[in-house]
Amino acid sequence: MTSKRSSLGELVAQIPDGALLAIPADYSGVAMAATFELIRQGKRGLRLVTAPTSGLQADLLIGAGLVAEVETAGIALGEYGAAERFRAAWAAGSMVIKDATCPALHAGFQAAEKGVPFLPLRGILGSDLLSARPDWKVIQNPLAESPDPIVLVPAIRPDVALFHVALADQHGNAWVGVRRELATLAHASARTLVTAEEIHPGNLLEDPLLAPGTLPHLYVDKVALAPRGTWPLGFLDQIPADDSALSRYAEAAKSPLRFAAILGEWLHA
Amino acid sequence: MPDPRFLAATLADAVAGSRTIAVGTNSPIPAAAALLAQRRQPATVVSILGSTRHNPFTDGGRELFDFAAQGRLDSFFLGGGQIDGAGNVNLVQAGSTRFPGSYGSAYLMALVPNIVLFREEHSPRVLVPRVEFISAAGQPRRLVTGRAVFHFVEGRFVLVSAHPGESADGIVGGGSAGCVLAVRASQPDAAGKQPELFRSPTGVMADSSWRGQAAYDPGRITAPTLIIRGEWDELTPRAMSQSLFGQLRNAKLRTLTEIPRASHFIIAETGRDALFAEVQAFLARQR
Repeated sequence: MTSKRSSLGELVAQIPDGALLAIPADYSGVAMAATFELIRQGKRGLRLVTAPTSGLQADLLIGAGLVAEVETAGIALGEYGAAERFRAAWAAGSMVIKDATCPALHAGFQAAEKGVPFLPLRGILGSDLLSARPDWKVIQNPLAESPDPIVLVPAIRPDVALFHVALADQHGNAWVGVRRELATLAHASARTLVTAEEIHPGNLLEDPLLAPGTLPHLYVDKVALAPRGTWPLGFLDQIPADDSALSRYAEAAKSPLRFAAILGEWLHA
Repeated sequence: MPDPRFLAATLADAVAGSRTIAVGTNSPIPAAAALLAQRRQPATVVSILGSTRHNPFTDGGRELFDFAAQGRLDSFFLGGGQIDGAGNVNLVQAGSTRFPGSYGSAYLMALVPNIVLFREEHSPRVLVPRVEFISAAGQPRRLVTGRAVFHFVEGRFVLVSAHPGESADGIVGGGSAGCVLAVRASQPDAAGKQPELFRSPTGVMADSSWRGQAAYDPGRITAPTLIIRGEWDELTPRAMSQSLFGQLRNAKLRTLTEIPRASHFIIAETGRDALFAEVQAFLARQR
C-alpha cells in the first residue's frame, strides 16, 4: 500500500479554487493549521458547507476573501461572540448565504453517502427556511392515506472534506472515535483531506479497539501531521481552547483593519 | 440582570420531570439548568453539545436529531434574536442585523414536546409582535426571560411569574413595550375594544368548583390519583370529591381520603402532618 502522508502545503494544494469545501463544527475536528495554509496559498471562490455549523474557521476564510458562498446552520464564535466577518460579508452582500438547519445538513450528507438524490426529514414545516431554500421540497408522504406533508432535502456532495483527527496512519486510516459525522462527511465527499495530531506507527484497522472508530483509508486522499492543528480552537478534551487568542480575535474582527492585522500575525506565526 | 443561578434554577423547574434533556450550542445557563434537573432526578439523561463528559451519543452529530424524531427527547432549550407573541423564533436576520443562523431550531421545535425558550434580554427589540424571519414556527411550552416566566397556552404567552424584584404590572404594563406588543399580537381582537381588553389567565377560576363543570375530562386521567379533602371543608364539599372520584374511571389507582378535623386550608392547620403522611404513603406505593 502506498503512503498517503504529505506535507500540509501539499495537502492544501489539493483543494482547487471554487471547490465545494465541507468543514466540521467546532465540537468536532477543525483543521485550523490547514485553514491558515489555505489563506497563504491564496485560494479563491470557495463554496463552504458547514457540517452543520462553524465558527472561527468560516469567519477567517470569509474575512480573508476566499469564500464566494456558504451553506450553514449557524456561524458564531460561541462564548467569544458573533462571527463579525461573516456578518460584515452578509451586510455587504458580497457572499451567497444558504441558510439551513443542522439536521438538514446531516441528512444532505447522508443522502450523498447512500448515493440517493434526497432524504425526507420531519419538522421544518412553517419555517421561512422553506421559502429561502427553493431546493428543499415539501411533498405529501406517498405512503400515507391522510395528509402528511414532509420535507425533502437534496444530497450534498462536497468536492473536498477537510478535518482534523487525533490519530491517523500512513495508509490514510483516520481515527474519529465518536465523531462519526466526520466519517459521514468523508463518505459524501469526492475527496477527503485529513490533518492529524499524531501519526499512528502501524495500521489502525489492525487494532481491534481502534478499528471501529476508524474512518478507513478508502475515503482518505491525503494525511498531514499537524500537531496542535486546531489552534486557537481546542480539540476534544485533549487540548483546551486558547482563550486569550480567541477573545482578541473576536474583538479585532469587528474592524477590517484589525482583522487584517491579527490574520497577518497568525499567518506568520 | 438576575443572578444566573436563579435563572438556571428557574429553567430547571421548566424541564422538571423530563427523562431526557438536550442543550445546544453556547448555552451555559440552560446547561447548568439541565445538570441541576439531573441532580434533582438522577435518572435524567442530559446531552450538552460540545461536552465530551455530558454526551451520551456515539453516532455523530446527527444522532441527537434522530433521537428527537424517534420521540425520545423530552426537553430542549432554544434562544432567539427575536421571539414573537405566536411563539416563533428568529435566528437569521432582523433589519440590518445578521444573527448566526437557525441551528437545529426549525426541526427541534416541531419534534420535542417541551421546548423552553430562554432569552435573558427582555426588551422590545427581542420580544416583538412578529419576527422578521421564522427560523422555527411556534410550538414552545415556556418562555423564560431575565424578568419573567411565561407559559404558552392555546397559541399565546401567558405571564405566570415575575422574577424577584420585578412586578407583574411592570412587565405587562409600562416598562416593556415589546411584551405588550406581543400580548397584542396574540389577541388581535383586543385593540378593537375601547378601552383595550385582554383575556387574562383564569384557568383556575374556570375549574369545576366554581362553575359546576370541569374544565378537563377526569375520565382521560390514567395516572394513579389521590384525592384528599378535609372533613370540615365547606369550599369543596364531600359530594364534589365523591363525584370526581367516580369520574376517574380510567385512573390506574384512585384513592379518596378524608383528613379529620381539617378545613380547606389544611396545609396551615394542625392536620398538615396527616396530609403530608398521606401524600408520602401514596407516592411510596407507586415506586
